[in-house]
Amino acid sequence: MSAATIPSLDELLGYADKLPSLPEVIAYLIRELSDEKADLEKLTRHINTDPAVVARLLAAANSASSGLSRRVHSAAQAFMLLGADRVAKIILVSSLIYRYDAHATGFDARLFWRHSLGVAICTRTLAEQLGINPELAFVSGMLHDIGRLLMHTASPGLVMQALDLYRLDGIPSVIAERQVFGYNHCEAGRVLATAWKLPPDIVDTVAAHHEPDGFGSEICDLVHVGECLSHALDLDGVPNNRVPDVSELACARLGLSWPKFAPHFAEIGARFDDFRVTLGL
Amino acid sequence: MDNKQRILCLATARAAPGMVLAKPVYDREGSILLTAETVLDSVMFEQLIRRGVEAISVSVPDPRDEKAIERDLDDVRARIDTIFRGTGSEARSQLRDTVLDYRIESTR
Repeated sequence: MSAATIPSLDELLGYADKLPSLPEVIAYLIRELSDEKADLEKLTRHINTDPAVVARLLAAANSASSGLSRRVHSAAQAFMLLGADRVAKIILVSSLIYRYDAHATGFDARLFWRHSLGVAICTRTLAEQLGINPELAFVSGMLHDIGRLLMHTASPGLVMQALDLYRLDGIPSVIAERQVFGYNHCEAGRVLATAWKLPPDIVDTVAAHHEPDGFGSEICDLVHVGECLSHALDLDGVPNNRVPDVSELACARLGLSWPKFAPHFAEIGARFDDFRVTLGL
Repeated sequence: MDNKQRILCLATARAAPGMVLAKPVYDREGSILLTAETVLDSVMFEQLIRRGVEAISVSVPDPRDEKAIERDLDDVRARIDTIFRGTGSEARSQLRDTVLDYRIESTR
């Protein structure tokens, strides 16, 4: 490997253009969901402008309600049956999966999004119990690893090299990435999140999810513990899963006690399973 | 074997009419919708989906004998050791112990 092939963090920005741009509907949902006031009528109008989005929504809605006798035929019906916030989440997740279904060598996009979904559900369930905006938590969880997408686009070979250090030598992924690239997917993620003009809160969660201590932000602490929990509950189901280190300070700042939160573990498993099957992940 | 039961937490959409609730079901506002031991029929089932209830706990028959349960418990402990390999903070150890207790409880 020659040093010249390693893209710097500044050069990485150039590769952001090589990724498909964030679809308008996703940017819209991120704004609406993290704003705590999803407007049902506006949302339906927005969704109906994109037949592909509607088709994916109907497929998911019919899968989510497979026990019912009636089929779901329209976006409006899906809203009635599943509720606006659930529909919004289905659209967000299915659009991300569809848009960023990278099929380049060695990158398993399904696994990537399955992991992101697990973190989103853990983070959201924690948020509900801790009195934090659960929709912002869900969106942040879904997007927390986008730095990996960018690094893979820029240099799939180097990503594989870092992955081998993690898999074979047991080096934590963020350290393995730094050894190979000189930075990790949190720093790369900040570059992409900024290029995508995501809300500042979400940019921070992307940058902070492995090392939240210096950020002093509630939502950053939350995504960090959400990620740790998704590994601890083994949601990805990958053989070489390893729980990352858990920040003492983040738990203390959130007032989080794992034994007190434990009654929600089973529910997280069921919610994850539901979404996973609904979206065919 | 007598008819031993175990409790499973399922996504509502993955449950089916005829299943028996192991725990009461609450709506988003915390009001009780269905009591424990209710047998789900298709009307209740549709209501649960409409009310945004994402997960329910049901009782299902447990065909495992003691030996099979012991084997499952060994697997659970081994897997927790694997995914929590290496060292970490006190908070990580607390998470490990909590998840282990939960896994053992739901495997029995």
